[in-house]
Amino acid sequence: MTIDNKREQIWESLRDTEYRHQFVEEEINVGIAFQIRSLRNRQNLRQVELADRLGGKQSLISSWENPDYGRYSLGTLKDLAKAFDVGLLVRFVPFSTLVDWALNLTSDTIAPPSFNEEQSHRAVMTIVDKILNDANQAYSPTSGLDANLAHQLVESGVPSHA
Amino acid sequence: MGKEFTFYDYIDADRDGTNVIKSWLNGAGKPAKARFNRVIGWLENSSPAGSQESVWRAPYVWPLHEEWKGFIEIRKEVDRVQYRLIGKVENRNVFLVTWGYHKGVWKTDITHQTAKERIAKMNNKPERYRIEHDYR
Repeated sequence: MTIDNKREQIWESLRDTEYRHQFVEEEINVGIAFQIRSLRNRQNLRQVELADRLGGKQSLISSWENPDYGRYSLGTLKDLAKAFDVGLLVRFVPFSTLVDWALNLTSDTIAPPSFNEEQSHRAVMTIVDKILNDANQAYSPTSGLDANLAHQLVESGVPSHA
Repeated sequence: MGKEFTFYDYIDADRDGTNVIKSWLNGAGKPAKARFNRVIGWLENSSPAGSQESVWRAPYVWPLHEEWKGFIEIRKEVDRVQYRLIGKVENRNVFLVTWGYHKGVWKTDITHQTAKERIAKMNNKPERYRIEHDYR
């Protein structure tokens, strides 16, 4: 099934007002519970360790990871965002945005990287960009090698100024 | 990026061709439809079981026991009635074969033997007996 087919199916189901309201509620109940469990998993934290970070009890984390809980306060969500060191968005949106979000779940949207993880990734990408840029300059058409070959050399581990 | 898992509904092609999962979710199981659809949506994109912290375990997915061993269920309680969607995970496919609910007594529409037969049909003749989960 294509993503467009699935979008049409979800959109059709949302024409039912009662279902539409339940969809919003369940996206919050299921989504937050899944995200807490998945974020904790990504950061290799046990429930008791996350509870320590928050100054609470392990049983509370267990409750929050249950889709039946459904009573999250904004304060709790803000505390969790701090504990995981990730961003938090709480917004009213059109249903089309909610459906797009539901259709585009990935491991990184379910359990997003922490700030430090993103920072490390950005640092690596900056270095890679610099190497590629240097390679482009070193192997310009006037030097006898084209840029594509320079990219291949860099990717294969040959120093850019060899 | 592709999905981690694909959910399939059982089609009762030997009778009237009904999608038994869709039919139940729009009938007696309707109070739990949004929950089940959202759990399926999140599970489709979640990593496989393996770690203690996986989402392929309670309180998201429950393994069944005794004669239903090998099957899993997703649960939702509404007004003291427990609704259950029952299926089986094979590799990266999840075959939803039947439903159940618990209100004083446990009820489902088929036996575990029929459930196993449905799984075999969904594997052997996919074009006839299964369709990717219908969210409508």
